[in-house]
Amino acid sequence: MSLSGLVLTRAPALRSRTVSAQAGWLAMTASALLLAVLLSLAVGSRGLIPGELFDVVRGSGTAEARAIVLELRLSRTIAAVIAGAGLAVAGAVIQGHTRNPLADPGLLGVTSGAAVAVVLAIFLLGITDPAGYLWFCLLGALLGTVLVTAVGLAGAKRRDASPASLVLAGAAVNALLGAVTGVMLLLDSASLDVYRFWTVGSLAGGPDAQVLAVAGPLVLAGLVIAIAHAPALDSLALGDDAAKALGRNPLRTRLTGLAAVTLLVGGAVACAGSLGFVGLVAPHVVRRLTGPVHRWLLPQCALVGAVFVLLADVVGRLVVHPDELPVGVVLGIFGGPAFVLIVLRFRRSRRGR
Amino acid sequence: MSSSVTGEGLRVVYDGDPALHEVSLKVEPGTVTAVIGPNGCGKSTLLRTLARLLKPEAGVVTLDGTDINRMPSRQVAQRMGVLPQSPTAPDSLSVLDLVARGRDPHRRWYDQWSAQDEEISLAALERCGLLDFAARDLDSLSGGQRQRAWIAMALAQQPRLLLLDEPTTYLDVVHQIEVLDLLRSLHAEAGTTIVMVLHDLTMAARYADRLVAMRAGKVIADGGFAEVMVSEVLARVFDLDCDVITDPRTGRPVVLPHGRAR
Amino acid sequence: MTVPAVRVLGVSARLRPRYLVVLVTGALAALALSVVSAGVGDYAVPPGRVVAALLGNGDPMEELVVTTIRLPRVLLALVVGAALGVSGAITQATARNALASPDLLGVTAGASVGAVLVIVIGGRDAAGSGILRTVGIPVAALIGGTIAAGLVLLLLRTTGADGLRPLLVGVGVSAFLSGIVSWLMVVATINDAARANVWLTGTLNGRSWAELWAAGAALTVIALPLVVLAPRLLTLRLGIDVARGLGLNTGRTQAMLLLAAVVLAAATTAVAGPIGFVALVVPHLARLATGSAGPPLAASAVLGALLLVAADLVARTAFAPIQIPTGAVTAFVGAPFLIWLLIRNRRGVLT
Repeated sequence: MSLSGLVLTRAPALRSRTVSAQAGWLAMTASALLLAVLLSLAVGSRGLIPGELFDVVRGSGTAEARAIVLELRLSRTIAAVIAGAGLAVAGAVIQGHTRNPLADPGLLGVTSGAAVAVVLAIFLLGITDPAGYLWFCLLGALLGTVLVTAVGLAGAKRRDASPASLVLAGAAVNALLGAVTGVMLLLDSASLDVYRFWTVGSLAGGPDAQVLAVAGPLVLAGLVIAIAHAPALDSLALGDDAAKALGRNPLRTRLTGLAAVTLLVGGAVACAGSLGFVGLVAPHVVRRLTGPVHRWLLPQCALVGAVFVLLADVVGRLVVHPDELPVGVVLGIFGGPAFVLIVLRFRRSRRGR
Repeated sequence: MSSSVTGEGLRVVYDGDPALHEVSLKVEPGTVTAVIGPNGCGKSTLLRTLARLLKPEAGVVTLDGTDINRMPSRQVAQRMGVLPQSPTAPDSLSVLDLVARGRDPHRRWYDQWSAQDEEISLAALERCGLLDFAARDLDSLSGGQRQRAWIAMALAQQPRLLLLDEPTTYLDVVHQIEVLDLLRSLHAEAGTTIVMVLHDLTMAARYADRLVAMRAGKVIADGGFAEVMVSEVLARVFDLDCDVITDPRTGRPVVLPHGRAR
Repeated sequence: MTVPAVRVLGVSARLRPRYLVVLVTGALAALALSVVSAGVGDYAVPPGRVVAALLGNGDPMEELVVTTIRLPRVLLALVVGAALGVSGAITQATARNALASPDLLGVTAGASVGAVLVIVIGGRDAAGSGILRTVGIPVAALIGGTIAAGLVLLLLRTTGADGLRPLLVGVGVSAFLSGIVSWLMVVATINDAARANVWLTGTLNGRSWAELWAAGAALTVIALPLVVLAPRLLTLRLGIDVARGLGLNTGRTQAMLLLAAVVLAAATTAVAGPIGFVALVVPHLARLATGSAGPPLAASAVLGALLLVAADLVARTAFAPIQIPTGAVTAFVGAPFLIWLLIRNRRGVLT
């Protein structure tokens, strides 16, 4: 095809400069992730020195060290990575689609749907083991999103699930599902006893290998879909008209985004319970590194979200040694103030510009 | 290369109020057309319908002879660039990132950003005089520069037809001229067909070959400036008392509204 | 179309007919439900005799049941619902964000820390639990809520109350405080956790005139400046630049409005616990029902009161003789209504 009269007379390699800057950031957070993974494998009630850890990684090492790393810490480390990456990417996707920076991954009903199903499983069937309610959790997550999407579609003026309509549908359906959960918990304190540990988000003991084997691929699929639809989401950020003018189908893009969020949050919640905070906050932190372009934002969110959850889990193992703080508690108590600092600092640096 | 777009018997209804009454319009390839008319006359609605942003209740829009609502939207976007009215961009989006979106219609989701994409985007920026601003945030540009950045995005689509909804709104006279000169030279160099909604009658008469005047969802007058820019027609379209004189330098009409101020 | 002008407390407001219809029907419905609610219970009193008892010419026994036992709770539901509705509308309008709610400003989380702390610590101390339950929890909740809100507002002094930043600061503070609550919930015995869960759901169970006077006094004090601030909210809705152009000190106005929202939420949380849903959703209900562009204050107050009275009635009767917490039911009553409004929304209020 001809260039329609567009002939470049001088060619600065601008785009490749952005690419290298972004790749630099990615490399940096990737190394941070590697470090966090090693920390998570090494730190705990019986700490490992680096030498011991490297021996295990190389396939040698003492039987005790191998048992600690492979049986106690590997699964919770994997779970932290899955949950952190899944929630952070889902948060960025949902904030992009609703054009609302206060949206969190639970907005579309995934988390509240999962919670209802889990509590139902505990309440009606007496299931108390996470591997047992895995499928309830995933089914609930799916039903939650389907419900929100259906209401959102029905509520939008042009049947295109506009952001405003999705946000309201999410608020309404979440409240309803939350109320169902709430009533069951009020009626049955045995359910509450199981649920309170699930809802705070905990990795203690390490999730079942079966859970990881299901949740891992789900989150991975969600990641692939999310990153594949990033350019479409970027067009949608210019408004529905501009997106249509560029040949995008806004509704199809939104439904793709919803599918990605369902997979990401469903998998994450199955691994670590309903972890708050990461999904809402990680995208805000990452946007400061990458800017608003989702092609870069989403992969970076995956790395940073995983680092957040890993570090929170490690801190949780250390602060009340030999007890443990659940990872959700650490994320709130340490992450909350840290996020406030970031918000305040950003203001200053912006003013200085 | 230029494309033609045709609307045939278009009817659009907003909340029960008809915004277009059986409007038909045939835009020949390689022409520059301006749609004028008072606020609420349906000119934006017509443009949005031609751009397949609105689906008409009745009537057909064809792009180079094919029903636009039956063509894959991506394929339409490869031929037709659209600049919506007051478009929005996320905070701190860079100019280059905006313009790069214009390559969307030419890439599948699995396609990597190619050297050709890069070259076309940069050429579009250069064409709009924004090469030095490529890395800047869109928020930090002036109104005229921002409008040119959006036009650059449409150019990166390599369109054969450009539809623009009030591309000069909010711009001072220098920037209005700048944007319209740019469009005119695109037309001269590549033969791009251009349809735009304009408010300023003098600018419309100066830059368009053909003027389409609308009122209350209907086309009232259609033709060259000599036929449309006459005080009787303008009185019918706008209820405006005015004189029309000829610019001695360009030979184009200039509208002088009577008003009441002296 | 004629637009009736309404003059209240020297402040006149021109209301569109549809808005007026929503206000009047909402108020009448709330009144009717209040009468029904004051009659329903173990000792049932038919609505006609409730009115008689309220007017002071009923059966003495019925008067005792209606005015001493049930009336404060009904009135508290009206007051709390109205306050939460207004608080939510203010927050959403000030932040110009549909997901904003006073909960995000840290009040609820702070109050929860206070109350749950007392429940968990007091629960282990059998002797102290009686007093702590009745006096300690509301006071602790008020202190916790005030400290949290104060912290957020203090941080706002350094950032300004503009746009999204207050809410992001609130999100951080709330995350910190919710972390503490979650931790308390996990370490508590299951009995304490269950009691804390009831408080965290929000309830009007066993509330008497004392709570009503306290809440009523606090809310009246805040309501007065709101009469002055409310019209400015309309100006703010036009955007910061336009509001400044109209001579409004936007920074101060936004800070005062947020402060009012926070105090309203803190006062209601102290007496009734963190009743969810109302502050977030009632402004949307009001917006969709009245067809107005932004969250309307008066309609939010009326619909908030209506929603909470209805929810409390359901909470008292649905599983009778067991009373479930009011906060568990608000969503059951309000969410279907919101979904219905959303689905039949054709007016393009949602753009």
